Amino acid sequence: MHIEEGTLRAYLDEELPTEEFENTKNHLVSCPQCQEAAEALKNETGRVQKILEYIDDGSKGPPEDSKAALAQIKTLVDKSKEKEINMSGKLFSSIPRPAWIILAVIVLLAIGLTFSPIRAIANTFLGLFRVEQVRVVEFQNNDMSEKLGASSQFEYMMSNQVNIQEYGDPQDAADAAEASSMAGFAVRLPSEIKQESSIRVIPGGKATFNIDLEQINTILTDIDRSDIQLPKNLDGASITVEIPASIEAWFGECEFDEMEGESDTDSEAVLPSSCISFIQAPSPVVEAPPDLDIVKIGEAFLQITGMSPEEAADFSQNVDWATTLIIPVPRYYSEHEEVPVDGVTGILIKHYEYKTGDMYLLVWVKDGIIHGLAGPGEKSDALLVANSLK
Amino acid sequence: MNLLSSRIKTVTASAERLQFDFDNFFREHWERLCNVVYRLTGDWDEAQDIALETFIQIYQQPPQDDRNLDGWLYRVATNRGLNSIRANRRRVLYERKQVYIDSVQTQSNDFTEKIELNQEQEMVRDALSNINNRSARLLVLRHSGFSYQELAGVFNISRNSIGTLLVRAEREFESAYMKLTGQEEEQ
Repeated sequence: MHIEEGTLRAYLDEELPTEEFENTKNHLVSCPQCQEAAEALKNETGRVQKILEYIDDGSKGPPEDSKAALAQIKTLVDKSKEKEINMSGKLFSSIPRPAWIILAVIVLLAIGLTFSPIRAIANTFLGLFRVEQVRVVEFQNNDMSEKLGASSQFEYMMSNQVNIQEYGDPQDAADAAEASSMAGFAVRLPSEIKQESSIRVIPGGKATFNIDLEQINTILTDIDRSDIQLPKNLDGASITVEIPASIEAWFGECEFDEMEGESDTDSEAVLPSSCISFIQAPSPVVEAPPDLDIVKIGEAFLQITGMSPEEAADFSQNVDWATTLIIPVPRYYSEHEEVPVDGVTGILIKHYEYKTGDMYLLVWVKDGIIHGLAGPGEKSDALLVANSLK
Repeated sequence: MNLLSSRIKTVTASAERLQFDFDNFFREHWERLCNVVYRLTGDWDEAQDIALETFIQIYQQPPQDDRNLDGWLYRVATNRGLNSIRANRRRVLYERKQVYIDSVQTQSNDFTEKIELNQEQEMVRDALSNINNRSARLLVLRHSGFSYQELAGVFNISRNSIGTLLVRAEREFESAYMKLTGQEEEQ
């Protein structure tokens, strides 16, 4: 038996536990083939180290003194705290509960991630027509949702001008079969999870609203983004969002607040680390006047997420807004990649979370149905569960 | 009585645990974090900004204990560092052109040396940004002196798999670097 490469590498790095180190050392004495492999590995590492040395150059000086840096952090944070006091959020409690049902599909996708439902609201109304694919856009402006939360104009619009109709209350279902008959589509559940589950069917709903451009511009001013231009013909456009019934399933120990009780954009729905959530939702359908310039609206949305006007224009041109669900993810605190799942291509978002451990969110669309799976762990954990749907 | 006092003790113990010592944590990691991120950004100001912002996140929402908090710190900061290479690429291309034009005009030897070093650095960073995200960060952290144990903490993986991942990362990197420098791989 020859020594495996990874072990050899750890041996060369003197990172093997004593016993394994000795074993490897003894084996190497008597095995020319492994000696050769070790030599090759050593050279390889040497070459790479040499290349990496190029970026060691610190000619511009060492970092600032840690005392000064620490003081800087405290000043920055205290300043932003002063601001926060003025906007201790009552926003979400004032939005009628049905609004959350309408947005449930998107909001549920957000579970496990820190981006707030607010961003999803913008997304629902501006981007979504009928979901066939998913793309991710990195979100930079972390304070945007707070600003939106502090905008009384936004609050007014959400609570008074959006007309919402819901088709019943959420209901528990005993199993996939019952959920299927209640929701009206074939519900599949992951067979790979052994923990206890609860399944809930969220009835569909419908939201209509007429766009008042002047008011939207006031909101943009409220959030310091009066630079963003929306197409003029948006004014008066009537938009309808039709959301079919969907299901959500929870596995393991889950604790979650009712949405309407959520009073703070930052409120962390910290899910205990064993909780896995899964949603299955037929695509919502958004109806809007055919002459609406979706590309321009999309551009505005992307600028709100922190893109420059040029980047937004470029991205917006290259995305099919009529079929693409855009998921904003917080830049830096997450990684994302495309992965094959359930016979289609999905997006895996890994979110770094030091309180609960890293979380994954896997989203894919199959046969017109959006699937979202969130839980603790790694890509392999996500795929194992996702590929076990039955 | 006994029961009560033991309960009080438990409560006190958990309260103590809640007192996460941010200042100490900061002092322990500030310089090292800046140095790691600098390797990625090649710019001290940017490296410090990234390090500061990552610390701020922890300062604002202190965790209950510092279990693997350092792992989180380096995981987030190196991800940001790598992102910044990607974001800067366009700017760098432009600057490179400027430097080239300047060098032709001044014809200074000193200057040429500096340009060569800059170009090497850019190529290393380009190569890092072209390979798998985790591989790139693994390499840079290892190169910055992280032990296998520490790397395992940063990436939430078993210590036993670090060797294999490093070998893989080195190969990915070398091949990406060779592509950029125009040297084809030997085999």
